[in-house]
Amino acid sequence: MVDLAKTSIRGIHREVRSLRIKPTKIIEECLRRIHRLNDALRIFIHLSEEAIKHAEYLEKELEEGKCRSELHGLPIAVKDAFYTYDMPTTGGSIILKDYKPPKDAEVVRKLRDAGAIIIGKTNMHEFAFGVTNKNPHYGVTRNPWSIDRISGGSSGGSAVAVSVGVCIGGLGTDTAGSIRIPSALCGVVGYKPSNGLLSLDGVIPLSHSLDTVGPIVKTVDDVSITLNIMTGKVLTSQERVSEYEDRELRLGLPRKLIEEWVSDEVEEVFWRSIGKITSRSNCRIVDIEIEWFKTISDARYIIVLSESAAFHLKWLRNRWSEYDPDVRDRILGGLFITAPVYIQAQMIRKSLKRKFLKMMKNLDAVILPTVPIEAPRVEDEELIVKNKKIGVRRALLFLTECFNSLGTPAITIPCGLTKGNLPVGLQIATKPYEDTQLLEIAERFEGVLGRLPEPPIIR
Amino acid sequence: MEMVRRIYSLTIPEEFLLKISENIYKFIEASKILEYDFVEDNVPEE
Repeated sequence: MVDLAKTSIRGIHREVRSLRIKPTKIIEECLRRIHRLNDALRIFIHLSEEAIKHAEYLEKELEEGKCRSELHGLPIAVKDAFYTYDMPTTGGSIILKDYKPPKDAEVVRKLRDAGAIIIGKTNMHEFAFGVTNKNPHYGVTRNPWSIDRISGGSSGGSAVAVSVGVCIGGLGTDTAGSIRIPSALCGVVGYKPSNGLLSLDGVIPLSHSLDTVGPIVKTVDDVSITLNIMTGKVLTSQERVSEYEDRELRLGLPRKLIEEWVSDEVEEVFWRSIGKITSRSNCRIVDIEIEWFKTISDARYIIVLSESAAFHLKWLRNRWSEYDPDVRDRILGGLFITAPVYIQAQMIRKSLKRKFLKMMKNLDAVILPTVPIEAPRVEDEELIVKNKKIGVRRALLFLTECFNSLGTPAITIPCGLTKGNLPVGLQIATKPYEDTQLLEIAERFEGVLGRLPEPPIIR
Repeated sequence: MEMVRRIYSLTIPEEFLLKISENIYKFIEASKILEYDFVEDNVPEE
């Protein structure tokens, strides 16, 4: 039997298309593994009762010679922030625990149309407003590399599901790093596309001007496949002529920021990866300084608070006691941000995007660690990094959040394990709407860095 | 604060909202985002 943790979409598609491996068998195997792991890891909030029925239908289509796409008959796990017509959508909350959406989110519908089977809805930080996935209602999503540590969030359930091979891919949302953070901490590939590239229709919002949705998968090629399906366009293909084949890549690296803020454990793995990349592929490192790093972070916080407060107002009135207190307090904070402050934050975002584009004129991509620390222990609230005390939440999103404000695409790919056997992610970002170029660069680096083994919990 | 509770039709206790508003105002002050200088935006690119 195939193990989804060890394969890729293209790898298993060949087997499924020829019916050497049947979709029903894949779903049965995934459900078996979910039942073995879910209590310990808290991956799913709901499981589909229709998954086997969908698999049977899609299997019949294959027997009749119909194959819809590379995802035909393959299981996908969806963060519980996306509408699904056949399962409730809670947003990781109690407030929406019985909410049954009238339809699928647009990207979910596109995946289903392409033959994907939605196997379940994954655990998340309540209303996606947090990056630890410590959910008081549905449990703490734990890291498959070390069960006493968090998965990261807010799309933690989807990242763990991919990591332990109970689906071939997952869907997440990313407003400050919610796809990239858990993907990095769980050793998988997570992609935040350019803002606006993928539809947000049918997705519970956190902050409408910063929200994005994207795939969590095993390989960069899997990102391309799912992205092509969800956009309905061929953004990337194996036949595409490389833009960078014959020329040197110029990679901007914020060295000072990394040396100041990234933990020794993560730095060691990161620099080793940079060494491999520069020695084995045609590229040049250019040191850059991003002196506006804190400013863009502060502006983003103002924007998220304001926009989330506007959305949550209807529940803040009478159901405020049903929230995770930590999430509620931040949302409530948004009620006290005045319009001029919010507008100033949006203008700063625009201004800094201009600065970023100016800096990128002579660069192909920016490269840095995805998360400056190893996956924290469940009980950790604060950590010491480079002799500085830093809150876990702040540390987790420190290096990801700026790309949401800038609207650029950004990807995390696994780049190695720390001495403590915990995954480290390498983050690459390009200019807005250079998604195709970014995937090409990421695939090149993935080829140099190789894949991680499966997490110990399934070995 | 009573006005905020009325405008938004909130039932949350006033002292609780006071604490939250204080934290936000402190954050805005510390962030210096209201002092951000947009001058560079008006410099034409070469």
